[in-house]
Amino acid sequence: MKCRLACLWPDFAILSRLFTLLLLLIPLSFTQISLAEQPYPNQPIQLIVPFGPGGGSDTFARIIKAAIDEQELLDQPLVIINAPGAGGTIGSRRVRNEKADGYTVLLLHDAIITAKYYKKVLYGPEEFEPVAGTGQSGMVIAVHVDSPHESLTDLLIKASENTDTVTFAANLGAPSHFIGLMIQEEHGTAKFRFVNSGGGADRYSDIKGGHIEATAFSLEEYLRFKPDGIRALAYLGKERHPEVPEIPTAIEQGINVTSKNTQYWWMPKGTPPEHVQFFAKVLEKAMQSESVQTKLKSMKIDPIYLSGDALAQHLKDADEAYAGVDPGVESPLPNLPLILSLLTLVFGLAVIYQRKLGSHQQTEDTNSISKKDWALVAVSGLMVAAFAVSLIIFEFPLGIVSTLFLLIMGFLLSSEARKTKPIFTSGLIIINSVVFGSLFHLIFIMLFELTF
Amino acid sequence: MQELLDAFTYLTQPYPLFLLVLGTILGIVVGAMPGLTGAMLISLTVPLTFGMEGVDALILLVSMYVGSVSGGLITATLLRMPGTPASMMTTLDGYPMALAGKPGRALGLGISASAFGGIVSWFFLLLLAKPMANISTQLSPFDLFALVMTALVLIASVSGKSLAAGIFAGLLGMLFSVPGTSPIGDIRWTGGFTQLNDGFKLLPVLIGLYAISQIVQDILKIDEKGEAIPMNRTGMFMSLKDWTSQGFNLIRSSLLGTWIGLLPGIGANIGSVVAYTAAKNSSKTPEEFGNGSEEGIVASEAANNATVGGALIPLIALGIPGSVIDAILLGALMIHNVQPGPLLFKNNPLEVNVMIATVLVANIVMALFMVLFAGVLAKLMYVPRSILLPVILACCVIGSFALSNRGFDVAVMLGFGAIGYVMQRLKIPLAPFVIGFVLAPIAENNLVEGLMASGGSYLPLVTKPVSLTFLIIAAALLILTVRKHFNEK
Repeated sequence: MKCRLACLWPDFAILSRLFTLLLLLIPLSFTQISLAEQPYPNQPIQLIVPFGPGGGSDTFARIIKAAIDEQELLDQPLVIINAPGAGGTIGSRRVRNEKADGYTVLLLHDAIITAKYYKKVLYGPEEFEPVAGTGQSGMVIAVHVDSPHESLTDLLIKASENTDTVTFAANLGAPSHFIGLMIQEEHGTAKFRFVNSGGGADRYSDIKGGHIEATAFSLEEYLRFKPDGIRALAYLGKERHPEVPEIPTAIEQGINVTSKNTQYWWMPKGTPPEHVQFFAKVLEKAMQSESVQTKLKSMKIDPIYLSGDALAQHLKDADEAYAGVDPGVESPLPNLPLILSLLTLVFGLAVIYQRKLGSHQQTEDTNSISKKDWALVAVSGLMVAAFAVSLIIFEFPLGIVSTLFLLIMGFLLSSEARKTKPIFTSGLIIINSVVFGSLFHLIFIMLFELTF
Repeated sequence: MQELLDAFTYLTQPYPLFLLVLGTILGIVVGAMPGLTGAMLISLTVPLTFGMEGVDALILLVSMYVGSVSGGLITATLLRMPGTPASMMTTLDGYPMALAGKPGRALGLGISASAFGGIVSWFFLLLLAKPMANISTQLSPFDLFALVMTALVLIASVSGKSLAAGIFAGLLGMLFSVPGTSPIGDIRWTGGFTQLNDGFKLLPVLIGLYAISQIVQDILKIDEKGEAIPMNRTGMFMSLKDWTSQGFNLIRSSLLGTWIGLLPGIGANIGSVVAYTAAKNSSKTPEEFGNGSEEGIVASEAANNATVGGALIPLIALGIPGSVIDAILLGALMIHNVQPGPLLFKNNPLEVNVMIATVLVANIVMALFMVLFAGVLAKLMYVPRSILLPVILACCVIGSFALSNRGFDVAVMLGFGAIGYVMQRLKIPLAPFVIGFVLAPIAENNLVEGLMASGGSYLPLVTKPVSLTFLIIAAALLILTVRKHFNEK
């Protein structure tokens, strides 16, 4: 049978009726038009959190957002987007490439500096506009409760007598790694064997199971894990922390290392200074609110606020502290991707060989598909692509685009059914499209604040 | 114990109960419709749960899981089309029995067996999840690496007809996990796309593989229609005599299902095949299998529901998914900041206990709903595809985008749709691909960690008892499968 593409399309009369219907819908979906000439901010601000939902940074961001919403400090919504991965560099890269218009903000702690000195990314704080520093958490060095090491000194003695035998769990390239590096650097002869473990929970598992000897935890993590058999050797502050006065500082033990992890807010390089200052003011007011103060206290985070020159000085100090260490880590791994590729190739060939041997048996696999059906798939594919492009690149309103998409796809796929029951089927498709089109708009735009 | 009671109390509140019933019903409906699968439903639902509390999201997703494994038996019985792959074995006996004028009896047996299997596996979930989570810190990185490799061998050797194709699919899945960032932070294989720095995200990959490729198949046979056997309710409930005569079969099939579910990597499809084969081999009337055997229906359905509870055990305790749907659940747990492992019962007591409680309650809701509405559900397959498919397609696009607001994920989703379709055309199983894709990073991270801790030595892999045991099991499995393969030829 000859294939004519035309047979796939609904007839013209129905289409024109559809368009009149759609015209009625348009005012509904355009309720979110922004008036570009209003003062900053006149559209939603995206806050990129480069870690997973629920982790320390995400919780912190949500506490601040709640305070901003509560006190109505911003006329526009602050939309949190989690972009986790690779020690925060996935998210930081994303913000670095964004337009410097004040509508994209990054929340990233000291990892932005350590990542640079780990040399896996080639940029650091200098490629962003620092907005503010808010909240600091203390760090401790911890071991298993049954560990033979009673103090940081003990641990370091062993690490210098038998260098490269004392294992230290870290998230390579992140502050937990650099703390270990700074301590061995300060001590001089000690040398840890760093093991790439992961986030706080992963490091807890490794210490608890006895697979790794020591690690660094934030104070909040340490207090959470302590009842399950974790013991702190040193607190990395200038003085003992009031919450845990029993833990001696590293300085008391002769190791002059202090470390605090600060949450910084960044905007892309070149963002107008007035927008940076505006947002910094918003953060300052949010930090002063009672709800933020109590919540941070329960998380053992010191509620500091830094901006302007104080922030610049703080960043400079932090940079110097991390700059002095050499994070050289050799991967012990064989080239797994290469091995995998070769194995895949071998088994791919094995499958082909096997199929050739057994080809005479395969007779049932010839349920032929007509060219018309393939054309249908091709046209559907094009429609899906058009749908995605019009949403993401042209940013057309979701309600209208999805209604249109559902209509066209409905008519495309029902050419057979419309021959027997034309009015019923068409009516059903139209109702379905309008209902689901509005539903998508309701759920994704109103409920999830999705910004295309 | 108290925490479990709290979880049940939580489930009796209106909103959680609503989500549970909604999830179960949606699962059954999707399971009952040939061409829609539970994996598709659940991966499309995950983006919708971003705005929910984690615990509510888990109620919805777990009850969908239970429902979707069960719903397939209706269409399997009345249409000889398994609504989901897990009901494949039910078609062999359910349809002949329905054809012989006993559709009510066939459905009733299937539904009761499903609920029974689900409840048996729930007991094991309750008993084993917490102790296993507690001892999981004892597993060293090398042990976990060996365990994951065993899982990969297992999935490759049992899915699909050809071992080579299974292994090939698994390797291909592993290969697609390479682009992104290596465990120690090097960017690799991204071809300059910075969006790929974090690799392919699980959700767009799964939506592509399971939803898009299925939709393409559905479009290709858009005008195909099935004819359902009219429903009657005679014999819908199992009598006391049935329970005693099927009792041993029920328990054996449920235990087998739970055990298969517990093994990392393989899920409901394999569970029902194994239980069916076991029932046939030990039956007094093996000749009835395939011609409407009651034992066959019971074995297949008890086992496929039992895998659900079993597969949740390694997921909760170790973060290692027991099946494709568990892989999606793992992703959802991460999104809602529920980290499986030793800290789970301490950090998220409500979430994990509610998950466990949901398995039990959803099985009961499932049985009630199916008994009441089996007839209506059979008519679902008459819903025109031209209504259904466009909505699902739109959800695929919006859902992939919603994951992290970038168009790149939509492109990935469509690309994997094409890959999935081609693989199905070439009869290369999808399940090892997904499991390989999910497990490869876990394996690699643990190998790196183990090697860094040992200073580059592989020796602990064979000197420590746990990892050695896993490696021996993996090798034995491989050899057995290859031998079986050659013996058949």
